Amino acid sequence: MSTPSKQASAHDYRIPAKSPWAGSWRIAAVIGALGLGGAAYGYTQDADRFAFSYLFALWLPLSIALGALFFVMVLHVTKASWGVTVRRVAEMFMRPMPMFAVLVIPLVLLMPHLFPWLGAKHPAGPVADTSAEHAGHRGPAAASEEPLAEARGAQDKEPAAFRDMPYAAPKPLEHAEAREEQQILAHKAIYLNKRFFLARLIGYLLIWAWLAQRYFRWSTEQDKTRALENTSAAQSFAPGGLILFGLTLTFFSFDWFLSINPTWYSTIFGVQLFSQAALAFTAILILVTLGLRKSGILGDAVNVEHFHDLGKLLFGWIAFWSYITFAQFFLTWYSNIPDEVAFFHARWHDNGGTWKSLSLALVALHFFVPFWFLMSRNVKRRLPLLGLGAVCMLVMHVLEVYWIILPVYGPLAFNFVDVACAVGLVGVYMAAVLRGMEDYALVPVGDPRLDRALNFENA
Amino acid sequence: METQTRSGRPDERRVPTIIVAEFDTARDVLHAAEKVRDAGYQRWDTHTPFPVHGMDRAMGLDDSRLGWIVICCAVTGLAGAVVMMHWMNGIDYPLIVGDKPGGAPGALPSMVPIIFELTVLLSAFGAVFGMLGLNRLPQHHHPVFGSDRIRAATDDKFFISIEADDPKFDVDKTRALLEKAHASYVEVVEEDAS
Repeated sequence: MSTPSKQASAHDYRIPAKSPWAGSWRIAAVIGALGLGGAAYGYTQDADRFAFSYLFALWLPLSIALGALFFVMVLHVTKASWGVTVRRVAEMFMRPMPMFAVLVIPLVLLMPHLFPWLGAKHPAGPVADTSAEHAGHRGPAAASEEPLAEARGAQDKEPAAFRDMPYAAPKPLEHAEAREEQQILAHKAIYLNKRFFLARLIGYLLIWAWLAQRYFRWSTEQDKTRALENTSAAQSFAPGGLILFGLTLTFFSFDWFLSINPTWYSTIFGVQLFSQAALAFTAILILVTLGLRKSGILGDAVNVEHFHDLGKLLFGWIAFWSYITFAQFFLTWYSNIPDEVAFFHARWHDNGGTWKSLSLALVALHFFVPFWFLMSRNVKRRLPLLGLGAVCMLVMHVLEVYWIILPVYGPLAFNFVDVACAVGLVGVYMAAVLRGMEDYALVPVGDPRLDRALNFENA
Repeated sequence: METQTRSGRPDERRVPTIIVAEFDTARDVLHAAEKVRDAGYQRWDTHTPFPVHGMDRAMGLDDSRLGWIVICCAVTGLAGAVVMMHWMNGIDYPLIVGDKPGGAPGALPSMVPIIFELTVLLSAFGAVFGMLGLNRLPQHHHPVFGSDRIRAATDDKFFISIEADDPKFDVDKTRALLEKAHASYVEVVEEDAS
């Protein structure tokens, strides 16, 4: 009211030819190609390791693309006007969804290296539990007992009856466990078999690509036609789209992240991956929008009020992620059933304890520090500080995905293939995103709610 | 400009308690609020049918202090829960549940639900009661309700009210200020002197 209504037509929100953003996709593509080259070399060195690194690397861009798809659909389902000015950037991030059908091919070829139910033998995996690390001194039963003693900090306070509990000889137990795991896998074969698995994968990729393409077309068509029907179509489709999204993401996470450790169960696992995706995408949306705004491409369309809201969203996702992740840990920790604690053992006491510091770092830097840091309104409205928070969350996202996948492979040991795969896949994905940004206005100029979004203020 | 006082028994002395000025548009009330702010009034308020963007600045309001109240409550709840759980399960009546002795650092996860709940509970109390306190609520009566026209603030009119106990309050000067700020109607609400 105090300021004259900002007009959408004053600015075309396109990347000018002289802007550093124009042509930046080539840099990303070159970096991505170099990374993929390094990854290919890594494959020739150690195919097992490559498979795990590639799975880790694939989820980085895929989680961001899925987070973008979710964000766009949520904006439509809530009919939110504040987010209209940042929606196009989100649409750019979801648009390259079809390329994952190509990027996933190496993993499909390497499935026997990843999945125990296809015969993979992980160095520290559940089936190969008799490996050098455990051999001799510690059977599975003993292994589940030891971290407890450590958790309580003082072994001598243990009740005497427990201390002298006679354990059966480790060897027969290991065999019994291996036999039981084989039985579990046989029991799951109806779901975890190659044909059904690939059929599901094709289903997920088709649904995601279809959703992304639909929403992208509805939005970009509207730039020229200003048709209100596009908005109402996008809105009425969003609830069904979100249900499809939730189901596909959950089963995708069961297929690709849970089944590399097929004797472990967690029904909340899909939600955890979803929270990662939403959180990581919000962080990257903040950073890219800050960058575009700094170059003057977005004009005044995205101002501190919108960043304040994005900051609130980022903070909310941090709290959500922490809640989900702790819920998963807490129930496992409390019941302390060997089948379930195996996941956290691999990330705490097993694998030579190498993952312990990363586990603690996740608690500190994925939750504790950013939670208190981003709590204040003043931090969220001070853009460099908000950007700092977003960078922290992106870095921790990469580390968390690493922490979820690589402990199944073995102890924490840095390998250039991890970086090569990550740089390669993220580079290729970002090249597609940046290339797409050059073809469209970066604000949905035909959206009927744009005017309200431009004049939005946090009351 | 029309000015009106509430009719009462004519033989009793009546004193003004509040001046209510009516405006037709959000733009008018916003600019009027800037003038009232610049004139240095303290005890005054605006009443609008919807949130008017920029009104916080126009009224010269600082950020709400509610956040500080809530964070104090939150930290109190957090610390209280840690102390309580540690005292109960670790010191006063040590329990080993699920082979996890209370009180040891390793039992921290078992405290988290209580820590979470108590933090949220005290934060919510702080937010609700802090909000009521900062707004000086509940009140039995506020002089602004002596005006009949103020009801339109929930419909299509915009109001500024300046209370008589404001140190700068002066019936004539205040009325002149509001009229100069393009009020479409100014009402001096009076009550019986007691």
